[in-house]
Amino acid sequence: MKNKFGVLCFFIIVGIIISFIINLNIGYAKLSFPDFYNESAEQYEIAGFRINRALAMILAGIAIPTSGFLLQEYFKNPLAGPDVLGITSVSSLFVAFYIFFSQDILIPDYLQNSFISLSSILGSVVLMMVLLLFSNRFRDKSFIIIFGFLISALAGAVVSFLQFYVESQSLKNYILWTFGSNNQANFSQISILTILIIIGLFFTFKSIKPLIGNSLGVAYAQSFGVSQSKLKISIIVASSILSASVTAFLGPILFIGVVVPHFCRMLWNPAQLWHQLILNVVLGIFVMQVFSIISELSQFPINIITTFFGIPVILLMLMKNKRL
Amino acid sequence: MSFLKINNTSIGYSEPLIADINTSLELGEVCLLMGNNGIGKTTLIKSILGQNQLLNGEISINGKSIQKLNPNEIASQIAIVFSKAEIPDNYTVTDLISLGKYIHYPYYFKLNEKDKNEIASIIDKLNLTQFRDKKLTELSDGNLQKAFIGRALAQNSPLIILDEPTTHLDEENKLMILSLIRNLAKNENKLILFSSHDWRLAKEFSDKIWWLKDKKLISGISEEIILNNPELITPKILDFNKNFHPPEIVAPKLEKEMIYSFLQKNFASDLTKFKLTFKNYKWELKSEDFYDNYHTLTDIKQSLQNLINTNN
Repeated sequence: MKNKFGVLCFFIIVGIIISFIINLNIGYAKLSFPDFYNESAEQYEIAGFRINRALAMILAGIAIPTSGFLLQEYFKNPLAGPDVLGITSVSSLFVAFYIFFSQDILIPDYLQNSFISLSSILGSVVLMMVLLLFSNRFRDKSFIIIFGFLISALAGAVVSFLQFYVESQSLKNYILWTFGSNNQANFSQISILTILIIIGLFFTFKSIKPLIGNSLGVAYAQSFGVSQSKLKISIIVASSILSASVTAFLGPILFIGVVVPHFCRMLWNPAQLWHQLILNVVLGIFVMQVFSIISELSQFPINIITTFFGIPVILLMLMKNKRL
Repeated sequence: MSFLKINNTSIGYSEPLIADINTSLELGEVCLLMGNNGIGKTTLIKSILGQNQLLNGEISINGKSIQKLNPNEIASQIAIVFSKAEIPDNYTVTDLISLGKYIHYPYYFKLNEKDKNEIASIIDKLNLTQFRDKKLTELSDGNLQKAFIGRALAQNSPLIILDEPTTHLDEENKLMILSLIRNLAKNENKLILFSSHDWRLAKEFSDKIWWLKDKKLISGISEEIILNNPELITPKILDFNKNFHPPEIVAPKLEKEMIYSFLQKNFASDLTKFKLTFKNYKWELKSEDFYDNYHTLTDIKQSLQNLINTNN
């Protein structure tokens, strides 16, 4: 029983491969094997589309749970996550602002998406800064939830207000974005997303050891030589880049950031953060692939699927109150 | 050369809390840091850890000035057990003690076999073997304190500083922790500095005392400090030291008050007719009705109890 962790990861990776293949085969059109590599094949473009979708889900599966995991470990609160903290709603707010204020300006189509992404990232970074400024108070576990709720409600209200005044095409753009459509990412977007996620993961790796050092509180951390200011910065950078980049390109994907780390803690010793990180990444990819399949089969946007699955789990966590 | 040396040092924030500290400690010694609340015990500990700026002077450890060491180098010299810590929900005893190896790994991915064995032997040494996989939140206070001491041991630093290791513990666990500290210094050749409010008990387990009083640090061998400072003297109730010839002692305040309170509860509100003094190893209890000598306070209490019983 020496390498139980390896066995666990192996099974999840097998699951990922199977779900990835299924995901490639699900959609309106039936594809045959040559479509994926033969450029002259009839449905070559659709196949490319599917590959992009599956790749996007892999990236989302890496980024969102990792971001949630980092925030949960940093705040020592299992309910922290990019969406519970309100990061996603503030991103949405910034996107709404952008769409509202740019409706009269003519922006080329290929820039439109980049600007949306940029405003979304800006929104997450702004909120992360605010959160870290008050981070000492956020160690109180109920306060963080109330804060996230309030900020989401506020963002929601402002978005509704903007929707009321915006013209219909912009409104449609915004709504499409909020659905978290996994079909809209093209290959260049996926490349940018990959680079951003690699940067995010780099800062994640830098944060893991200080996070372990932080587990006994700040006084002990200081005696181990952990620099709190450096840790804070790498947590801001890592979690906001990870969640914001995915939110920017694929729309807000809710609750995965809370639910996946929670399951990982049930599967493996929660004190071993490196193991937890790896588990979050593989389980995150698997869950996103499965949700993507369900989303394709049911024709619902992926955001709705993750919410339907996520909310009952969070409710159960609250009721069991085990690790709160 | 002394292992821990403090030279002409003043510590504090804008105002010095303690001025002109000149003292040193050797490996293998246990030093008790005592003093009232707010007098600067924790500030002194933080200064030794290099977490507080010194107002002047120098603290050196193993011949190197603390100010010139980086946090990691300080950690390899000093392991600390704080009085308060966040207890991580998911940590087991083994996880906590393994954390002592934190500073020895660049990325802390996996403990190597040698370190794993060392942690297992620390757990055995502390008699925590049956709790090794138990969650910290499920441990008793005494065992939790032991586990935190185990973490400091795993850090392999020659100096261990413990801030109030005996608070919140019952008598039995206090004794257990204090004798553990004593044994570590002796058997592992560690220098141990610990602060405690239970100094009456703790002084029995320490070689040296650092006593913070009136912005000064009085340091010396435990017995001398006790002998030279009448206000610290308490006759040992259970085990009387025959070589010790005190002059006439007016206080041991605490015990005296205990007896007066006993008298007050059981005899009369007016205590002028009772006189309690300590002379020539013996307590003297005088009243209008009787005069008697006792060796211990327990004897006094017992005879007074008998008196009550016969009167009833």
